[in-house]
Amino acid sequence: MIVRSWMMPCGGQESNIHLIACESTREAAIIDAGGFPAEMREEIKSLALRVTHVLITHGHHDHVDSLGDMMSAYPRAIVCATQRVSENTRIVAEGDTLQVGELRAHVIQTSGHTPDSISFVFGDEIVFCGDALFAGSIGGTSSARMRQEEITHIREKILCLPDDCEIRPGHGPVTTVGIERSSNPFLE
Amino acid sequence: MGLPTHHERVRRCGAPQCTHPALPGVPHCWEHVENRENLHEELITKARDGSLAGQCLWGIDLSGADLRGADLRGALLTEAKLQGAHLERANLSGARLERSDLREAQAEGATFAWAVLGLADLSGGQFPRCDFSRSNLVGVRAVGGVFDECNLYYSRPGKADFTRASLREANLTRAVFRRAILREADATGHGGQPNLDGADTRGARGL
Ligand SMILES: [Zn+2]
Repeated sequence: MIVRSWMMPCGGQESNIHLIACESTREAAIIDAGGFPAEMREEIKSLALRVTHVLITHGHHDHVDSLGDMMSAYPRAIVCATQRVSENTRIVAEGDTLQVGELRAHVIQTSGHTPDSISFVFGDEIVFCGDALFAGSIGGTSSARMRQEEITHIREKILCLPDDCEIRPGHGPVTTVGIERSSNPFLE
Repeated sequence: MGLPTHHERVRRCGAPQCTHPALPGVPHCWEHVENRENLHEELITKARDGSLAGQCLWGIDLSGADLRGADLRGALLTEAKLQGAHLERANLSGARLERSDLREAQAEGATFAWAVLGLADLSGGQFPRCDFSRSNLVGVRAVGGVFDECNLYYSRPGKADFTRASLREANLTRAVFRRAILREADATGHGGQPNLDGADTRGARGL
């Protein structure tokens, strides 16, 4: 599979936008739409990829602001989200699977940061978790109950994956299941 | 970002039951490869000429190797042994280096931007003027390491051990040292406001 990430400044924050594609069919999914960098468009073109999906982890502006631009560029892409955010939306929930070429993703509920945050797990290899989990940190929540809910989802659905499984969050550096299981100060 | 990564054209090691990825150009991983000595030289040459960017080098032993100026962007170097390696001015942007051994590495001016160094051992290493911006330093061991004038902008050294490390004049803007150990570390003249929630700064200077 082909995996790339870009960072875009977004209201004092830095948001990550990810791309995953099937090497054989060249079908691709973009994860989150906090920006739509020119470098990403060029890479999609130069790698001859066809964007079939845009996967939204949660509806905060720094994850969806550029969805309109993205859909103008890839009008046939299906947007997978927990709420209707665009014309071509497919509402997804925990347990759903998506096919991007020969790559299969599972949707898991990782609520806490928002009541309907989800993550996309591609095999045992890579998780796009939005703002649920960061390198050495977890997503901000509005109450102690939501925080506990978030931690439970992370423990039961992400930390059970193999050590080398890569985690690509909505902000900041990439991490792995092994690193977070061993040293995330919030998950002890 | 948008770096080439090790996820492409991955081949598994041909040894029975081995799940590690094979090294470039051979059918096995470092643990199971035959003729390791020749391969060692060949890989060092390839690292220098840039053809190992984005390649799978899981568990490779390049201890003490001369990798000055090597292009290892986006490479998979999980559990790599780089103890005492010369990495001056090497480019390791976006590389996966978790659990790697970088003890006593000599890496002045190297680039580790966006690299995943979680749980790696950087103790006693020389890393002055390195770019660690937006790198994952969660749980690293960096006892006595030298990080003078490094750029640690937006890096994540949570639960890292920087005991007696030198971080003089380093840029610590938005670096998250949550529950890190900075005992007797020297951060004199550092720039920016790091997050030191729950960090142990006893005997530290400049923090
Ligand atoms: Zn093997």
